[in-house]
Amino acid sequence: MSRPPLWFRVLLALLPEDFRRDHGEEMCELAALYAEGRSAPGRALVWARAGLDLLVVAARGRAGVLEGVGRDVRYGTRSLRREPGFALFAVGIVGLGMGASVTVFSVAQALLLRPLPFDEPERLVFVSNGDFGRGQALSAISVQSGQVESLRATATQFIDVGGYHLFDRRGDHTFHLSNGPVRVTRLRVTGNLFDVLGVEPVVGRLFAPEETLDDSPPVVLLTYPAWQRLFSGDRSVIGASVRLDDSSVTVIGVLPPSFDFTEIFLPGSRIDYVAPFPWGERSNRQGNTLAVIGRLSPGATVASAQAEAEAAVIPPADRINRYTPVVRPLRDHLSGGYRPTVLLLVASVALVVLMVCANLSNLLLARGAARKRELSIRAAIGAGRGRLVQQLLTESLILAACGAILGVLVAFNGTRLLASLDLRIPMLGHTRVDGTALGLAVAASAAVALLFGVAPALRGTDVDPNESLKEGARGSSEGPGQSTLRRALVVSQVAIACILLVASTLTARSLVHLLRTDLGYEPVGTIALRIDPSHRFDTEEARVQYLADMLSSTREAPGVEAAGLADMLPMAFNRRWQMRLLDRSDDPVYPFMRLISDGYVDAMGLELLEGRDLSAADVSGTPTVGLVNDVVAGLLWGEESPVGARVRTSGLELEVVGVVRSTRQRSVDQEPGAELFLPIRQVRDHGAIHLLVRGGGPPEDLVAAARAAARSVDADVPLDQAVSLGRVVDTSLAPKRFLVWLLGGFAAFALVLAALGIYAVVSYSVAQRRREIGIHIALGATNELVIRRLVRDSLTMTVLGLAVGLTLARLTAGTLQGFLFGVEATDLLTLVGVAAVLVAVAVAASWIPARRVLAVNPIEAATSARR
Amino acid sequence: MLRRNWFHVLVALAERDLHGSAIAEDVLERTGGELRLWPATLYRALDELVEAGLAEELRGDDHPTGESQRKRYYRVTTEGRRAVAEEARRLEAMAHEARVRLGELA
Repeated sequence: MSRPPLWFRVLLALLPEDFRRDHGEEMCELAALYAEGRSAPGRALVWARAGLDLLVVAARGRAGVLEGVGRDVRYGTRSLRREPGFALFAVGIVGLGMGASVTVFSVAQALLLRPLPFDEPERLVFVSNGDFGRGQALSAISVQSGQVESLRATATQFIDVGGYHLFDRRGDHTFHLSNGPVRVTRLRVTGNLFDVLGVEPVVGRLFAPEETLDDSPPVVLLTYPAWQRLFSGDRSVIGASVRLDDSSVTVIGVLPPSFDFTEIFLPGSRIDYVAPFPWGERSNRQGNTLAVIGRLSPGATVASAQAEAEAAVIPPADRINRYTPVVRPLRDHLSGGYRPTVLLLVASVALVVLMVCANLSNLLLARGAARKRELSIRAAIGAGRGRLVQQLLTESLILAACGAILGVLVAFNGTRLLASLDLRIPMLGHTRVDGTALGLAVAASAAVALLFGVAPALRGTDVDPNESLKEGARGSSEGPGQSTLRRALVVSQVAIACILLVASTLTARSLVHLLRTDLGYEPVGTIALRIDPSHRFDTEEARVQYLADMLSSTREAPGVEAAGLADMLPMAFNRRWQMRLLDRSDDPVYPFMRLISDGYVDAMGLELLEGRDLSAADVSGTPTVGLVNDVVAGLLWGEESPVGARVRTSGLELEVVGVVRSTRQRSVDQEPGAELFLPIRQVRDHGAIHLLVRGGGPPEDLVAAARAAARSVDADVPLDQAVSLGRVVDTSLAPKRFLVWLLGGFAAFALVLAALGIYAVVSYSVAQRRREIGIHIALGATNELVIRRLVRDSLTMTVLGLAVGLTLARLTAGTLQGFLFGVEATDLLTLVGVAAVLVAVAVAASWIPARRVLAVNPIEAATSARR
Repeated sequence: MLRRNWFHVLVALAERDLHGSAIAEDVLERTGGELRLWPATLYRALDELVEAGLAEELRGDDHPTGESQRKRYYRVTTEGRRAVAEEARRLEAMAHEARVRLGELA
């Protein structure tokens, strides 16, 4: 028989005692009887329904108690409505704090906590290429397919190893459907990748082993969104033949909707269909092409897998590129790089929440003190202390509940906004507020209400009706202990605001540095238009002629200053080719290789240091030439000039004809690497290409001119993705900019809270010390003297807070440095600036309420005790 | 008018004395699975029926022979029988009226 869950037994406690004693056991038995013979979810549903029934019956039986709570809620709402400023402020800060923390928690969940949507994801590992550094650079994660085959052949620590092709690009292919051609994006995978990941098709089947060899009949799998979009989810497409580019392929299955490959592996892109990347020599010869994913055997560890992968590396003679396998958990590879950022955000939001708590506590303490009289009167007419505490706690719970509602709204919108941003961060698009996050928010606000409501409630209700009423005429007062607590809270708020201000200022200054960094090219004023001629030309002559015609017609367009072609834009794709001097056995270098045309150097705004640019005469049939950048020149030739030198790269022999200045083409914060440029009219190894156009006019005009020019040459070549290079660089900085905004938002919020904390303490102490101040003034102190004393008082708290905050900032400088670019975490200007801002805010926040002493009539104030 | 839950519980008890779970099973079966008496509702109703004098709880030695001594057994009182009969007549009258209006009966 199904046993009652623990929570059901706990709920029983809500029933009146005799009812529970008489029927408790039998109730459990009856519910268990109903649950019998059902599946696990069915059983859970039955118990939940029985629990609900129990709650309803219990509530009906305890209507009296509910009535009391109802009264408290009504009374509390009324008393909060009397002070709308206080209520709105309290709800506002709880809501914002809660919303921010739930949002950040949801991000942490999406990136670091929630399991990847694969079967037993903890056993998946990523095998990268340690010879090319760490990180997401394509060369650092790509492996030649022979290496994977070698590892598969001997694997004992891996159940299997597969991979996906890294160099498939958006919209490179065309499905010819009955209603016209549609541009689609391909992903090639090794035939076993889906088995490795544990992904089952929703319709049809996966690749059979014989379909994953060279020359096997072409088959494809559709992604679920493509199946819906292109084929309206029609099942009859399975087994059907579809025209793809110039040949036909058979659709064998559809991947499940949960298989969101792009969001996980290639954020910011789209995949429509998946084709096998065949095993075998032809694929192997393509060099480093695969991102490799393995599934560990039961009992295997990352270390044992690492050892096995190292042992399986093929001998140097068979290697096209250097390769040292580095095995690490798949999640580490995907989002490990973002872990520090997420933790930084979590830490910041935790500080913000602490501040909200301190502020709320301060407010409630002040309010409790101010209401002492009201409570004394209620105590005098017979309310017990428990009753009063319950009343005050109800009020904090009302505040917390309203705050939680606001917080949930903030969090829902915050996460939706985050998920929609194109930050190219894996799994960020999966960020959502789920049950855990909501539960956490509700629990946290209840905890905040109780924790920070109890102390003020206990203090506030510690009233002796006689005493309080007797001194009532003087208003309430607080003891020295309470005043110290309030001051300590202000000091901690200043300290927290200080840390957050330092962190946000430093990251903001880093961003400014990044924006001002010399990229080596001039993105502003250049646009790029993607052109896909790859399937339109049968002969090399036709292709070269097309490129030449397009370039010359673009250059004639109005407003165009320079035009060139490249196979890749900066900040996006990159590939590295091995390159060595001809007739020398030095270690090769691995420059980033780009196919470009003449005019590229001018269109990009590169600087030609020596030699010549590529020319329109560098076409197939003439000797192969190339440009290198100054990094390559330094590595291979030192002080000598490389112009005229001959090098070998990827099966080509070529002459270096010019040297250009290096560029930051991977990301703004990475130092320029080695670069090699080959003429696109001589080397055909490209898919879609980008037409780059520089001109003085607005980008839209340049795009229009480029489109018109390209169309005039061949109206059928697909064009898309027009973008300004300034935008490309901007997008690459989006995550950093976003971090700056978030931290800046937290810091601004913290600054406001700290200012309000100071304001509250000073205005409270003015109100409390009216009489004392009145006497001072009566005795001859000037108003200025009194104001100065109050301001000095708040400055003491601020300086203490600054001392704590700056010390903590100093201690965490090492951690923070990792997020910075071009600025030291201990940057004096920043620290002094933050201190100055906080001091200025403290002076302002205390001076405004302190000026109220001007309104104090000394005689009235000094004698108010008698009234 | 008798509450619906009370009516069904009393009907279950009309034939023989039963404990709570058996009542619930009888009601579930008789209503073709339509009325599932959830535990708290059922036992609350039993308490109320006893309080209203329509049912009574059996003492331990009155339990049907061979049945569990631990469970609480209930028996319908004379007043309970009268209430059920009256409710049955009321329902019949209503059903009759409905069918007349629908033209099923002359």
